[in-house]
Amino acid sequence: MQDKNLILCLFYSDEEKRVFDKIKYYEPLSNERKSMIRTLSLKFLGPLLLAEGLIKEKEWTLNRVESTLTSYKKITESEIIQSFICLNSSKFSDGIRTNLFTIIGSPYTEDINLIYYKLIKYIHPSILQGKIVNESINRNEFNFNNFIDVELTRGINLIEHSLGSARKMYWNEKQNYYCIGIIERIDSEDLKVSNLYTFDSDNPLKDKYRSSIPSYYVMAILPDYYEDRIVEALRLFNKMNIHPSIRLIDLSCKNKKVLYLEEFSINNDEKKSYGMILINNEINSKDSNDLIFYKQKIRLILDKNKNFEETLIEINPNINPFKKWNLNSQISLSKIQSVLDVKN
Amino acid sequence: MEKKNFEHALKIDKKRLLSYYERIKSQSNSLTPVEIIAEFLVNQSIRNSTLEVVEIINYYKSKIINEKQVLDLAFEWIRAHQFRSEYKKHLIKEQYTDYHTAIDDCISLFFLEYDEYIRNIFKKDMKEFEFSALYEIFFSPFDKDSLWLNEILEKNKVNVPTIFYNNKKINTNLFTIRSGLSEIIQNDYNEVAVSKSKNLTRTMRQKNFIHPKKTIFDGTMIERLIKFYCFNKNKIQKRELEMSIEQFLSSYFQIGVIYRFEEFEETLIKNLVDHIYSGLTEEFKNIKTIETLKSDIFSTLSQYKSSNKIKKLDGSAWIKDLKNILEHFLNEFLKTLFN
Repeated sequence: MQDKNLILCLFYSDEEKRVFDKIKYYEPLSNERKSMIRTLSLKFLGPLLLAEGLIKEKEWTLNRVESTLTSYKKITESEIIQSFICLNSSKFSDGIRTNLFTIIGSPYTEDINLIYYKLIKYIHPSILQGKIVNESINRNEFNFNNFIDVELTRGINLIEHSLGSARKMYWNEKQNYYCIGIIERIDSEDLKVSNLYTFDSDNPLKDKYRSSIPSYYVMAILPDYYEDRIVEALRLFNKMNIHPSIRLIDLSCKNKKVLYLEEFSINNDEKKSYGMILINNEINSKDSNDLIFYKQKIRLILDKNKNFEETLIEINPNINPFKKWNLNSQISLSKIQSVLDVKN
Repeated sequence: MEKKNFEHALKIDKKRLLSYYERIKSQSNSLTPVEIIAEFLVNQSIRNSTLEVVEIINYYKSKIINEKQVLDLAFEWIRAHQFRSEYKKHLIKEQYTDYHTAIDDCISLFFLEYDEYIRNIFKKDMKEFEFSALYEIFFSPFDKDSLWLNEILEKNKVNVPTIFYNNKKINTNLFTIRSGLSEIIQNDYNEVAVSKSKNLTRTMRQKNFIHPKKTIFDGTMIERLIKFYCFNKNKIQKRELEMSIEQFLSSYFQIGVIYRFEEFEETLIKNLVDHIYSGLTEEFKNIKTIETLKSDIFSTLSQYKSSNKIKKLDGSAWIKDLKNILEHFLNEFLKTLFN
């Protein structure tokens, strides 16, 4: 792999919310740029901290954000990257959260599950356990700054070594999920509009599934928010002519899991995308399906011009395809908070 | 490694092994049950010394849960050897930049799940150093010179703590696995690297390829060893000393690359001084200053320089040449530290 095609960052935020980082990039970065990159991890985790405030439930965790990259103009050699992935491991001890967050920009479609496995099962536990052991052995002599530097080097080297593996099919991709909403996003030179389609405000299912997600409001803002953060990250690494499109956002809270799965198409400089908000707690429902089903349905709308309303009814007949919740202004988002996020 | 592969790697033919064990048992009337099991393991090419195996089984038999028998422990030892060959296949296949990454990658992909599996057959109160010692025993290659239990246990006892918080045992399994297996993985990595480098040297000669040289000596093991010594004042095992020097030298020298003494002398002295000094606790830092350390190492190397004609050597030859000198220096240094 050519170094200049690789962006690799690893951030650790500890119990005191201090952020430590290790960045691998082919050219030196100024201190100012480094400190801007350092804030990225907190920005990515931001919406879920917001969710904590909203629902007083502190365990929502961002696991991953995956996006594909598209070039609109002629790109330089160093801009040839295909995948942009953010993976996060959050661990709680005595109610205090530590996060290990990584940003990967790579020219290949990576085996993300393998990297994620190493992040949550090895690199993050190594930091937590190593701290305990070193404190026990070295007591007052223990230097945390040196220790975390060694651990982040270990982590970033291990992630780098894992890059370049072909993507595999994993059993959890065949698991069934239940769709509780669809976000439509249209982006062109003249128009930028996003809408949410979900249950009617008086439908009891709206309240039933409210606790299965961080909130309707948070889910509604996530795709735009993360796409903007990825653009910000790419610009910090001088990737000016490539643009991200969200593929997947993966969140969890104890045994609850939420996936946001999106597909897009570009026609005459207009980018159109549809994303499903999927949950894992109705897997036996007749309206539950695997990820391939949802991907196919979105592709039919985008590529074959299949009727959106009809397809939405096929996906989940309880969702109202004719009532759209606009996501482009603070007023309309506040309406989502006050209507969808409040119990009837 | 995927779960399916892991299960495959752990599968042993218990039926066949059991019938083999029964045959040995019927032929060995004068032996104790543990000696029969040891004989069985030696016949399975697990080790070549029955005495070593008896000692190990006698120690660990009291650690297994009541539902398991001593023979199960023997089966686990055989399983570990089978697992070792699976992990080595992976090590041979992969291209690592250094042995640190090899250790982390192999532990994360292989031994983490193994650790989870093997803990189920042992009692909950088994100490962490006993696990790391067990891993060192189970995964040592057949041709390793000796496996003396007491030596292994003593070494691990010093390095691997079992930590409790409010009477609850804290999970530090990664530290335990690393303590037990790092040296083994590093040795396997070196062995694999040597055989790969032979091919590489051939290719390099053909292509006139210039290998980038490394610029620092990494002495973190030396640093840690000195720190332990300063805190615990326990005698350092010869093997630990050897390993730390080997790690220091092999972090810089590359096999198949030619070095002149002058080009690394200054860096070697500087890095060695830095790591030794960082390992010292405050009370010793007043006695052994950076300057005295630098002058001691300089004079050790000067003696070597004066008695050997200055030459150009391959990385592996420099490791071999300098290993004994630095081991001797570090040994003398530790001996005089408390005087």
